[in-house]
Amino acid sequence: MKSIEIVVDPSQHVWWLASRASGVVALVLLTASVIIGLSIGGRFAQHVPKRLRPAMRAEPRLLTRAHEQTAVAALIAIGLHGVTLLGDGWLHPSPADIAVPLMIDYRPLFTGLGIVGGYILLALGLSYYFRQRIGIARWKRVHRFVIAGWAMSVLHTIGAGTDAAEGWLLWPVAVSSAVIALLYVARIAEVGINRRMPVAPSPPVAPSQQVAPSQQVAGTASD
Amino acid sequence: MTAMTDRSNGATVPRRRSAGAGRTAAAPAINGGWWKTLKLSTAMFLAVFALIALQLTFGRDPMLGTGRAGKEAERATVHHKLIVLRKVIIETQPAAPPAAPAGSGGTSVSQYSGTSAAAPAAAPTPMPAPAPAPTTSAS
Repeated sequence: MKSIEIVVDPSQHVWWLASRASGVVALVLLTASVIIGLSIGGRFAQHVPKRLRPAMRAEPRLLTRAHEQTAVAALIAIGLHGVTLLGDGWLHPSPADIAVPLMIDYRPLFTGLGIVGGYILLALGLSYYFRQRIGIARWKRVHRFVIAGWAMSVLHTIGAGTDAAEGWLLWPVAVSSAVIALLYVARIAEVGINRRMPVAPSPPVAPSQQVAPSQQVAGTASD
Repeated sequence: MTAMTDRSNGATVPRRRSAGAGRTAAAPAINGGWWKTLKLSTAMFLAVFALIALQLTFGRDPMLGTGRAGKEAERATVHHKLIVLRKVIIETQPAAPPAAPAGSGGTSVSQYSGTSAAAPAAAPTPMPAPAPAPTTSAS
């Protein structure tokens, strides 16, 4: 049977469209936050582009603040993504369907990944504000697992997202995922190197023989 | 409350609060950054919403035709199927009931029309066989 082009009134699907839009925004903000977070600290912080150096001098914690703000905005967008689904006239999910993994009938595995990923991001993201009670070192070790929440969000987008097959979403997701994977591997490798080779106190060097810190770094991903 | 410093001429000048007085100089930047993030997020949301709404309006949505994209899509699809089905039924059903052979009596005709004079020749369906002429019952 020949298919006919159907013109649909979008005002009948406001909740569904809002859920899709908030999901896309959540993924964009989350990806940006993860990229910024992986860039903070380590050797990457020493290779700030010249254009950003004046801003970095004026606001030394610019990256940290941007990381925090995009992360919180992503959490708000994730919440909006779930709540707007409650108004969807086709899916008709209950609050339990969007809060408990594997309860919903629509693609339960990938939807469940999104729910679990959201909880991971919520817990590990907001733990920043309780890091003094948790202990800074312990919090840093735990905060690394935010990458798992991000990965679950990407799988949720690809497996259950309406727009997953659209080029305008698929290509940015693929490119940003590759960037995050590279940054993550580089950070893991850097942490491993630092653990194996602890820095010993070096003897005093004459000023004329001192080398700039950026020149000491070799083989980093940012070069 | 700001501290006052004395000038050599005795005039007092309010001293600016230092950054170490419990409030960092970066405080306005925090608020500005939060607002920027909120505005950017809202703009992104509206842009994506408009994009997918247009996509749905002009029939480019990936969920169209699956039944997911609204009741209009389902109705239109079912309506289209009904149109096709009706067409199939009309084209494949027998054109008309077979005409009663001559001499067999007009009772069969009278069953439909109530009068023996009524002839099935008035039937609109094209029949290769000529319509029988109205005959009086010969019993």
